[in-house]
Amino acid sequence: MEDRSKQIEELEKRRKNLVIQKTFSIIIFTILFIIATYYFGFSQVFFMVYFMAVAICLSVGVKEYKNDFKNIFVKYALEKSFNEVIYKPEYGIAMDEIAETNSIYLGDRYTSNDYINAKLDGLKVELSDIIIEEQHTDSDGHTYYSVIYKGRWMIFEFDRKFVSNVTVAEDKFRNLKNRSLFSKSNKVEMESIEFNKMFDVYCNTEHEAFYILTPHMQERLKRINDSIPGKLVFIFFNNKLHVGINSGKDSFEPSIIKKIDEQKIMLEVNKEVNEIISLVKEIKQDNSLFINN
Amino acid sequence: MTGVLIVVIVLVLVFAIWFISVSNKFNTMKVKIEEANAGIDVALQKRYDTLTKLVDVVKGYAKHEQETLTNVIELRQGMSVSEKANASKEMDALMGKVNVLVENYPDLKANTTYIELQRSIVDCEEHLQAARRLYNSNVTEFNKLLVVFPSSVVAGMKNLTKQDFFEVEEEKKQDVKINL
Repeated sequence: MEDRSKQIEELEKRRKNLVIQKTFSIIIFTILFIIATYYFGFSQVFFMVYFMAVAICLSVGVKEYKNDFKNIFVKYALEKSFNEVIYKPEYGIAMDEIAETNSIYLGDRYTSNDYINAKLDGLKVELSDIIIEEQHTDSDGHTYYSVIYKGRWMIFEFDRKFVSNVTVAEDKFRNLKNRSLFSKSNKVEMESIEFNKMFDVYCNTEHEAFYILTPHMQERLKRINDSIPGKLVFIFFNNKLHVGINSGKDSFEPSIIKKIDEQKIMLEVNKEVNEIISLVKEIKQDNSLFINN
Repeated sequence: MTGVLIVVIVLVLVFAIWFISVSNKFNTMKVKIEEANAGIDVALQKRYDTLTKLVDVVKGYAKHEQETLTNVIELRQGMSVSEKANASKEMDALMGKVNVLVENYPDLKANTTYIELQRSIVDCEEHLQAARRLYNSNVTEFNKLLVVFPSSVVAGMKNLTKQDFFEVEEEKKQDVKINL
């Protein structure tokens, strides 16, 4: 406990130093830019150099600080609630794992961080934040990227294997891959009007969709949808359930400007961890889903 | 005169196109109902086969109870939906008897073949439930279209009638709950 307080103290010192270093550097670069502009006139080259110097200065040391912050606060919160926790802030779920479902459009650039692999009441879950971006070219030939998915991706592993891919996407979830599975002919209407309003179900065999999406499971998915902000997708594939939450949020990211207030931070981190726990518990309630018959 | 004729032809054409599309919709739905019905057949047959094996295993242990477990359930080709529902209910009843009997034979409860068969029964039951729900969902859609105007006009012209639901009594469903 004392160790932890010491770690937090040191982290706060580092944060303060980082803020001071960055403030001074920016002031110095700005003065240099003003002097250069005064003597040589405004030049795009000066501006670019100034802009790059500020950008580099802002990023130096931040990554390391954020990783240490996450290891102190996030890992601590996770280990309190989960078993067999592996937490790697710099790593993420491999793109191939999502690509193999053949359900999600993975755009042109894929990044992932905050990798968590843990167990809760015997159910194994793997999750991380992912960002999917799409490349565009404007009329001047400049390329730029736009974010099409930003949020959490979770993978639950079961003992049993699902016969065919069943995808349950919240209405207006826009990242489904444009392929034959998501055509009108593969759209399955469940017996619940409310569920059909909330989700679109796609599957090659209607029977499999009805087999997996029992009335209880439908209720659970509705509850998850009501309690979690963002657009959701559930993919039952092989022996795994993929859950995507396109919330536009990159979780567990600290700000170096904010002072480290342990209580406040733990409240925020626990709020995010509890969101994961409630989802895992909802999924876990359907025992028959992950027991191999 | 020509104008009136064109209007009449257009109206007839519109009606014909609409009639064909609604008629096709009914045909597609009938095919889906038949498919779902076939799914029930498969699930029922699988459940029946597994149940027969389970009863044989139980009979091996409970020789004095042979009569109690006499299997009179009949599955044959071309059964109506209500006949299938009855067969399912009979299977539920038989499963109930097995569960009561097994309580008196602790060795049987530990028998690996028995445990495996119990698991298979649970799986068969889940598949039957899914097939039943899919069938009933398709029947609901079909029956809804059948009574709603203007599709009811096409249904009347084609002499289509309401399809039967696959119904299972709630209290009977309780009997098949198996605690492993």
